[in-house]
Amino acid sequence: MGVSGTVKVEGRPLEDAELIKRARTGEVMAYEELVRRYQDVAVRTAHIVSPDGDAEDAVQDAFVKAYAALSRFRIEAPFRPWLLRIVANEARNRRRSAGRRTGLALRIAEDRRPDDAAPSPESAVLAGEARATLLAAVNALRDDDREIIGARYFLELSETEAAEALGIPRGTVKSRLSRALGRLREQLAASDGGPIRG
Amino acid sequence: MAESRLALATVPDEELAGALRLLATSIDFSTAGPTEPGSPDLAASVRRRIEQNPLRPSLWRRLGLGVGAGTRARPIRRGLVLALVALLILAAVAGAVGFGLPGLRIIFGQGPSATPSPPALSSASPRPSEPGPTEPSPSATVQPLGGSLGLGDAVPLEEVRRQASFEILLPTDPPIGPPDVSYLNDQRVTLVWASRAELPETNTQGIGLVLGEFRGNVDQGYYEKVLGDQTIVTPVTVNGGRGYWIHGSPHFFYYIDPQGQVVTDESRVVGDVLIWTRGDVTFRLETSLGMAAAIRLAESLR
Repeated sequence: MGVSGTVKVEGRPLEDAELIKRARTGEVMAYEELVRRYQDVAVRTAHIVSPDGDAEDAVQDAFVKAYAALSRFRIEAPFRPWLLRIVANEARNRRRSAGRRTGLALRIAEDRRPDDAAPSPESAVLAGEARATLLAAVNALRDDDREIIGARYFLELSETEAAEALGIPRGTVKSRLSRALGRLREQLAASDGGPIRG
Repeated sequence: MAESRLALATVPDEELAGALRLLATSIDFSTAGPTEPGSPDLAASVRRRIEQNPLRPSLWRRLGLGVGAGTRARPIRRGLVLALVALLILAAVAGAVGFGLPGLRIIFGQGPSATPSPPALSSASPRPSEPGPTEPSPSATVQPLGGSLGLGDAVPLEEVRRQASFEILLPTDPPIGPPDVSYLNDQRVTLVWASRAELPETNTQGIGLVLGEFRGNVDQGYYEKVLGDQTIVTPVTVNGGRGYWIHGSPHFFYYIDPQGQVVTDESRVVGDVLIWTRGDVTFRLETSLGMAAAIRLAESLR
């Protein structure tokens, strides 16, 4: 994440709030820096919300819309969940128009990295087909179940952030997540994968 | 062997959560497009779109927003103000995209129309008490040049220089000398020259040059311009720095105070303008000299 263009950094990266203030006054470079800061998590969010949509397209549109809406952003609030909500909405719009469904996919040639010499217990659990089985079960979930699981476990958002990003009441995150995990279990149990090698 | 097998369907929540977190590292989150994963410069694409894409003028037209004010006539104050308020609301609704320089924001929307358009707003505006566009304001006896533009207090240049927190610069090419009138409004400085041979009249009668100077990075408020689709923005370079030449149809220009309120006194319709920055000072120049002469003039500030 390099610092781009004319945005000056004196010893430390500028706070989001400072970049936002500058962007509001028309410094497009300051906004570009914000985009660089959050584009990865934004693209992941778009993938999770709309696995078959064009994630980059949704994210681009979301960033452009967020720029236009910047004057309505409360400067003391965290920027990331506010942005992700716009991203999620953009991605949802594309979800409706997406035709066939293939869902989230594993990276091709998912080789074990050399530094994974001593795999953790979880990675052992998740060896080989287990990954594919688990992801297939996630893909079989309803959209809102996949969103809450994705927000908490794939994006590692806090409950508060997940609530804002997904546009749901903060108090319902836990129960939604719990129900989603329950349905994920049902999917796993129903899948022909059966027991997974440890 | 059966005991060593583990069905994810039956593990506790924490373990399932752990498995999902780990799964995230294997999911293909790269972009689906033809570009190399991770390489497409999304941020640069976003910036280009913000800088270049005028916003769906068709939407504005569909909404039937038009302002009946003529281009050369003095703007009808209240109609203009109402139009501005409506424009600001619409800008929010339509998701207008702006760009500009520190302390100066440019919004693409519906600028003041040169040709009479459905006077959606001006007809709705209560202005029977304003019989004509040239009606002087109540206190208009003898005003200094530019005194009707709401530029602040007319203050001698030396006083402006004393009060301003930055150095006030003047053009040297053409050598037009000090301004005829200088205005100060907080830290926003506006210098006005009367029209003459080397400074042909601008959009405003009798005025040949308006030069605004303010510190965009410090001031909490900012100027805003609303441009119609007949107004053209050309990125230019002034003394090696970023600038924009705004020409074509006249556009709205107004100031938004730190509380986010439009300062209506400074709202007006302006013609060709060059805006640029030097250090943390943003400059704007209203002139009818054309782009090349405007840039020359801008680069001659000393």
